[in-house]
Amino acid sequence: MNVFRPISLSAKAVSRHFSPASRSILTAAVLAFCIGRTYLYQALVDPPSIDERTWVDRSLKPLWCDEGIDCYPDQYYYARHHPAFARLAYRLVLHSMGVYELDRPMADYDHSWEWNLERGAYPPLEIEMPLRLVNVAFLAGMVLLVYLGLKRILANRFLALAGCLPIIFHPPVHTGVCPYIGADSMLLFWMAAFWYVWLLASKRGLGGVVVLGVTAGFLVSTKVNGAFAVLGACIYYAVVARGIRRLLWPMILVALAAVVFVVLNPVYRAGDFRWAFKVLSDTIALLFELKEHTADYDWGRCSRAETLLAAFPYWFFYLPTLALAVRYRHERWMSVTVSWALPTVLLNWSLIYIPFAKYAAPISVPFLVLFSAGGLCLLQEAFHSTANHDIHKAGDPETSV
Amino acid sequence: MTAGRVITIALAAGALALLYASCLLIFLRRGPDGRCPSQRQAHRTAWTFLVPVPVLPPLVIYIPWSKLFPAVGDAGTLFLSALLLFTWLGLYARGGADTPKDEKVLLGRALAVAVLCALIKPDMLLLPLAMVVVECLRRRRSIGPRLLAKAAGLIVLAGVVRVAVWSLVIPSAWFGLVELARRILGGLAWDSQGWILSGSGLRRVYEYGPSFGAYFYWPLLVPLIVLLYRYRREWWFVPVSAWSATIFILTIALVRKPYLAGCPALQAAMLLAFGVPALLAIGDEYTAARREVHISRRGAGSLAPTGKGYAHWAR
Repeated sequence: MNVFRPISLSAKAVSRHFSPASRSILTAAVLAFCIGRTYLYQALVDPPSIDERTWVDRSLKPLWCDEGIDCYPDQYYYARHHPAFARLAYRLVLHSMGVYELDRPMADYDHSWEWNLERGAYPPLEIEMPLRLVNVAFLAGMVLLVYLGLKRILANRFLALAGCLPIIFHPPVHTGVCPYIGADSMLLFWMAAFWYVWLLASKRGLGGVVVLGVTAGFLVSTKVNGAFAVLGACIYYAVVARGIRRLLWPMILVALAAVVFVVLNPVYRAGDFRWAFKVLSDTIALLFELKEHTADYDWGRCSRAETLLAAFPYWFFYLPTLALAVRYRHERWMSVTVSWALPTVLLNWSLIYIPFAKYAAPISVPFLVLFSAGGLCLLQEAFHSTANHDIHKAGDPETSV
Repeated sequence: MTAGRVITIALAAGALALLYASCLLIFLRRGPDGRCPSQRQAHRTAWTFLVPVPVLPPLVIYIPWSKLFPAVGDAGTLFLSALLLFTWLGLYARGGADTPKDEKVLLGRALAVAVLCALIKPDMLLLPLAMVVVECLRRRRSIGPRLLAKAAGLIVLAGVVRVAVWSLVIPSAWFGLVELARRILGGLAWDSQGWILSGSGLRRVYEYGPSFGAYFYWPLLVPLIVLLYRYRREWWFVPVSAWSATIFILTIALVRKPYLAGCPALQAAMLLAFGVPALLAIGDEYTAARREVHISRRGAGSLAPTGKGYAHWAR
């Protein structure tokens, strides 16, 4: 009899010690603790930011008025600056708290943060905290979706949990995105939702494409750079689908995303097609204006190469990432994840003009998801081969006692 | 252009050339079973010389070639580290046809390089020392513990000699020893942020930037180590992994804020340890895919070994 049985790290060995319910509770507890330690803690302790007063103002103002640009120039600026989803989410929270206006001065960006703080250009704590907690909720949702996606790929709860940890403890997310009242936490949530829905929908035909299209609409309605992931989905379906569906699926996807976008952004519905096109071109022009304006500040003056190097230091590991993608290229999840992550990372990275954490996070999070999925599969393979080797060794009459 | 800057650039370029040569050695001398074939059996084509090129671009990009900052010491550390790796690989890159005398010559050469490193830059003394300890432990049956002690002593002696020479221009030998200990324990040899971030906006970027932190890549290490571990039976595994692990541990343990961008030796260690296996993994996948296509075209009869090993994917 072999007394010294090899220790196996297989799912069977783990399941002997933990029931499914206790495994779920353990996983949820670890996730909740980590999210509380990072996102919640940071949301509670971070000092007010200069942008918070502006975001309260843009959330409380109606999304659009029918009288045109001259009616509320601020609203036209807000509508062009970011699509409406974040404003809608914050407004829902503010209205539910009974806040309909805020009698505080607006922040003056030509002066310092301290100067603005002295004159009270920031929302009070009872308004600031609930809005930050909205961010925490969206980021927790993002982690949960990444966990579910990884669990689907790896079929292992603990490895999926391990894959979430680099994202939870990723400094740009918990120090930059979480305490910042803005659209970035929601963008990360919808990006993760888009990836998860895509994983589920990639084999489900028209129904899957419809759900993916609606998710894409919410993604683009949160921040325009969400469109990069939609572009990846269109290319994916154009390559993977068969026959007329190569053309049909991308068209349905874009059409549904556009419908959701227009429904959520009333500024595009205020006129005919020419008006909608004008708003879109003004939105793109504003991005360039803001870029030039930011470059005027002392902290905005970095060379292009320096900005790129600082915004996405993970580029250093491009060869191992490529190796993982090549290793699992035949897996459906890998083609979906690469099609989702590659355009998001590359296009966001190429367009970034100041390496702020909130701008760097949408570049590094898709990378971390891709690397976690591929890397943990490799780890799982190594475990399985070790366990199989041990089993063979234990069954070998020459080696067993 | 100052002499210091010219020497800095020359040393950095030399280090890159040595790292490229080390990668090339790994790719050129890779047999079908991962062992090192004899020089005659090694298969090479013009493409093989291009294969290691993708490993090094990150290091090339981070080195500030155009900045007016002479950093001979930092570039020297990088050069000597690369030289040590190349010498260390040379100990293993043999086809198994060497006599014990040849082995002794190679070992002597490696020891000479280690002593040279300790003599030129005593603050990076721990790297050649680690090399000698690893090698002697691996060959303890053939060379014995006495020789191990002698080799390690020789390297320490080189460091002491350097301090003695140095004490001719500084107040006292004691001050020199204390300064050397401070430099070794402060990890000054491995911290090149003054060179890499010199005179550029990169320092400002790190000040206002996204605060990824110095350890942003740690979550990636487990899969990367698994990737490296897959090649544990290959001849280059011991020198590359031991060299990289030593530099990694020294940098992480001794440097106060070991930013990857600011530590070129750490970059080189990570690139060699994880870039080479990644490139080999891509090559192996490509070979397997080509073989599948070949089999599907010609039938099962083409399963016969080609005798060219893994190297032909590089063509």
